[in-house]
Amino acid sequence: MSQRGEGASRTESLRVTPEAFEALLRQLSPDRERAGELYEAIRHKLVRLFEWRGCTSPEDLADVTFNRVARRLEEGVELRAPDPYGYFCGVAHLVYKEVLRKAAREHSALARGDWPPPAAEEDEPSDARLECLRRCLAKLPPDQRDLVLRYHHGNSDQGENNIRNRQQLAREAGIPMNALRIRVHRVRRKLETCVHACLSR
Amino acid sequence: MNSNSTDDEMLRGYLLGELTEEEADAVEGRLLMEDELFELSEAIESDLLAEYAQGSLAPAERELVRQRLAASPQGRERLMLARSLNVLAAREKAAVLPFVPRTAPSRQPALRWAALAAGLLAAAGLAWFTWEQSHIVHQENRPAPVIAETPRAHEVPAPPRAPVAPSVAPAPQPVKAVFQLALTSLRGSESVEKLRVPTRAGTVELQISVEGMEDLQSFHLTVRNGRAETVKAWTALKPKDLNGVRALVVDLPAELLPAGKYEIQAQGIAPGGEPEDLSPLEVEVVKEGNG
Repeated sequence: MSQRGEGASRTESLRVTPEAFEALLRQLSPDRERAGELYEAIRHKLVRLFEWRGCTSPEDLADVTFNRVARRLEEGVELRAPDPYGYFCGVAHLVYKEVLRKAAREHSALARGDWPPPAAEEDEPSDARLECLRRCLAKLPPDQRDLVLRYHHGNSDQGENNIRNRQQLAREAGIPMNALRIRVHRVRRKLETCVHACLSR
Repeated sequence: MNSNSTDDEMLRGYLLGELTEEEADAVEGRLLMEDELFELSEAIESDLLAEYAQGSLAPAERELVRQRLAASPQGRERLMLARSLNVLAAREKAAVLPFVPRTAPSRQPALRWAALAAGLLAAAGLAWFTWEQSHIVHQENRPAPVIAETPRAHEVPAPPRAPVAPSVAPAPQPVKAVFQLALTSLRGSESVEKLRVPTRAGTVELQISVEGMEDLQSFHLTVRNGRAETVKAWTALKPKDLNGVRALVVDLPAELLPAGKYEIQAQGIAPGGEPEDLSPLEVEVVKEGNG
């Protein structure tokens, strides 16, 4: 019995045996701790890939991918040591294409109604969220706090001004633009975790 | 950092969904294998969300960001962070400070061993999406409403949710309350749909759209109450054509639906196939009015 849409993943994600999961970890690395790290890294990437494809349940789909790989391993398939990612990638593409097919079947119904629904993300950040962000910024080392604020301050300018602002930041830091982007991104990732924890309290 | 402006453009195109399927597949293969490229992709995603929040994207790009990068709860959370940073950055113009040498980021693996197996078992809440706002139509001497002509909620100046008193009503007559729902759930609604049933309703008719499921020829339908008890079940239901909309139509006595929460579970059956679970609908019956 299957389930339609991205919800299919929920039902399917329940189907993995502990033995299959252990086999999956062993295939990733004979060292269990290293296998755990690889599992986390691959899972994080799969979740993000499904997100970037516009899937609304990326974590479920990543689990479906892992489960399918685990089942194949249980059946005797072996991952080639240098490139376990390729296999995961292939399975993830199959999972995604199944989602697309199911979505297409539902599309006509969705297209008739209020679809897409009004975007909730148009909301302005609440005072509580801004206060949490202020606190989290205050916990950062000063250079990181200034970097992320200056980088985002450029967003109040349009187009060329914004680009010039970031180029100036990259020059000051003595690094290429993409390195600057990644540096800012790492700070934002810290903030994301901190704000989430702050709002959960 | 080996990435360059070509990667930059490629990743931006990938994130906006502007690449061909083959190109996107190739990029994803690289993203899985190349950690730096993956991190750059996350960074460009954050930039796109910040530009979206600022309103500096072209309309077409804006729509792509909304559909792809802000589609999931996590994406919307990142968008809110970008929006918040824009707000604070604008309010508190940062002092211009020289950069100091960056210390290597500590990369403590966030192993969640206790959660590994649970991660596989975990199921995100499967919400459901109602195609139309469910609404009520009182059938007295009027023909049954048709789904295709049902106005959307935002097109209705005054939603006809409240019972309309008949101009001449010597004695209240039982009415049929009709609700229109859909079994699609590509994107879920966080809320439970309320079915506002007038207290004088004798029958509740559910019209459940199964548009887009033409491969499924018949359906089983079960209505369960909050205690998971079956209120009523139908088997081998054939969809009807309601002015061009394929829908299941079932009636049940209103007395079987006291106020409370219900789940409507459907299974579709393709020729020669086994029953396929469709996403359940969760509804809440609210009794309304004196009429």
